[in-house]
Amino acid sequence: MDILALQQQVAIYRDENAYKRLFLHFYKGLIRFADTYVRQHEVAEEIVSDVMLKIWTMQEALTGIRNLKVYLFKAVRNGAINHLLRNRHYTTWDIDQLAPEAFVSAGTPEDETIHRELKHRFAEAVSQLPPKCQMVYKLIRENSFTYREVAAILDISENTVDRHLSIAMQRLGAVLQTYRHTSR
Amino acid sequence: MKEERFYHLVRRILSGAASTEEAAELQQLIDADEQLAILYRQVFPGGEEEQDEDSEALLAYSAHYARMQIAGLFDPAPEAEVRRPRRVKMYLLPAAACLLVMALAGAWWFGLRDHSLAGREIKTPKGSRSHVVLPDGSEVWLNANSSITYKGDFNRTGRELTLTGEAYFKVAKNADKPFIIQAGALQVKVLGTAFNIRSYADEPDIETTLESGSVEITLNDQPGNTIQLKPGQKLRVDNSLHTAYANDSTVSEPADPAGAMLLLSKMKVDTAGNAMTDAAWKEGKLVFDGDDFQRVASKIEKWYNVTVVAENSLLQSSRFTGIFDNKSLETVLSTLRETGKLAYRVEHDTVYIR
Repeated sequence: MDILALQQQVAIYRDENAYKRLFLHFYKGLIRFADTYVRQHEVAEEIVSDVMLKIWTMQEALTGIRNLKVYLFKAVRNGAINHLLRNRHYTTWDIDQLAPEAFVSAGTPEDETIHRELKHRFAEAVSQLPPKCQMVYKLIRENSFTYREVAAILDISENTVDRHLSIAMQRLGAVLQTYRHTSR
Repeated sequence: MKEERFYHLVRRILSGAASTEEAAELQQLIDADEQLAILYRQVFPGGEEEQDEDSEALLAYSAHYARMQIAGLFDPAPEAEVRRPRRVKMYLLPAAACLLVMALAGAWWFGLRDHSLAGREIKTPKGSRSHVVLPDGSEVWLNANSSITYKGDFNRTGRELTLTGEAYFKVAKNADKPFIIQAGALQVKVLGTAFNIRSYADEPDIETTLESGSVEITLNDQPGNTIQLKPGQKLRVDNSLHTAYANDSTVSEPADPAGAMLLLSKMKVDTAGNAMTDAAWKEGKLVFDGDDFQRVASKIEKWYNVTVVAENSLLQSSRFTGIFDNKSLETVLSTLRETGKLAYRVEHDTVYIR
């Protein structure tokens, strides 16, 4: 999937088919990411739709985006935060306390080599991580982002991203250790 | 200890700092230890999920599409032209025969003067510019270190030429014979117009600036698509396709069509009062229009036929704007020096800038 080529098709030739492919390619990841903030599927859909709309209307400016995936995730996060701020009188979310809900690694291939019990323990360990830490782990695992990309999306430093991921990895490592000693 | 090393390597990979040796070492660790392999897959599950035919996403797209239609955002795109190879139709044969007879008669009449299809090349060396009138009455101003080539049958069936470097065209109107210019990675089809193309092999971009009329641009690697320019628009194409020119004015295939990526941008150009800065060179004006240093150096080299050596890497981020109306090299350099960004010395035909 050559994202840059599709960007060019959309920006210069107004190619609806290329636009559709971009939409389908990024949709699921963006929806999941928006969901972690707004917790309402309809709202998440609206936010993603707004962001994708802008991709079409920005015309030639689209070719100036070097990393579309990061751009989209960042835009979705901004949209989600704006939505939360606008609706402050209903909800009192602290942006920094938002974490991915019940960790379901949807869309990742089933790893047949590990036991369901272990999988469950991993998920539990992740859900007990600090919110930001979960967010970082989820972005890297589910969307294969690098440190730099996660830092850009969440507006934090690469060092902070590294610290969060280290914590997550250590925690998972510990789960694995105890699991080995308790099973078999 | 092994775990510590494993954590360290994973972090190096994600920070983009890992060397190939480190990546290989991580691979070895995973291969040797099943526990680490399990842990590794908690961070890199693998299998880039490209479920583009995902029903949920398709459903969302139809809702999204409807919304865009209602907003009137999908305007009917112009039909992409499909060029079919020209077939000589039967009823054209008598005409072709006549032409052949006339051409032969002409050859005899003019004492067998060379009317071959070898074509012509018009070249301007570095440090000079020229103005030519083509057989069809179109005018071309050629900038320094540029050339146009066309075949001997120019203006008989069509009007095709190849450009390297920079030229400003005033094309004579003739709807029956499209005027087509091959320039690096693209071709420009002209529909009676005045415009400027800058396409030097040693510069990263090809720029086409339209003053009046209209042109259609086709990228050589995407023959099915055309880009229309309106007056005052400039198209900049990243000429990462390194196209070599053969002397028979055919453009060779890009070495790696799969890796060919053109980045395009359209921009507005101020054409007020016909003062199109992009073509001011033909009036003898050397123009820097917010150019970065690399482009400034490139322009000076071609304009004055000198070599510019940059001894200061900090210059790369500076931009320069100015118009020099028939000024000497010395004047241009000393003016640039007044920006306080650079110093220079000239030795023979080399300018050292730092």
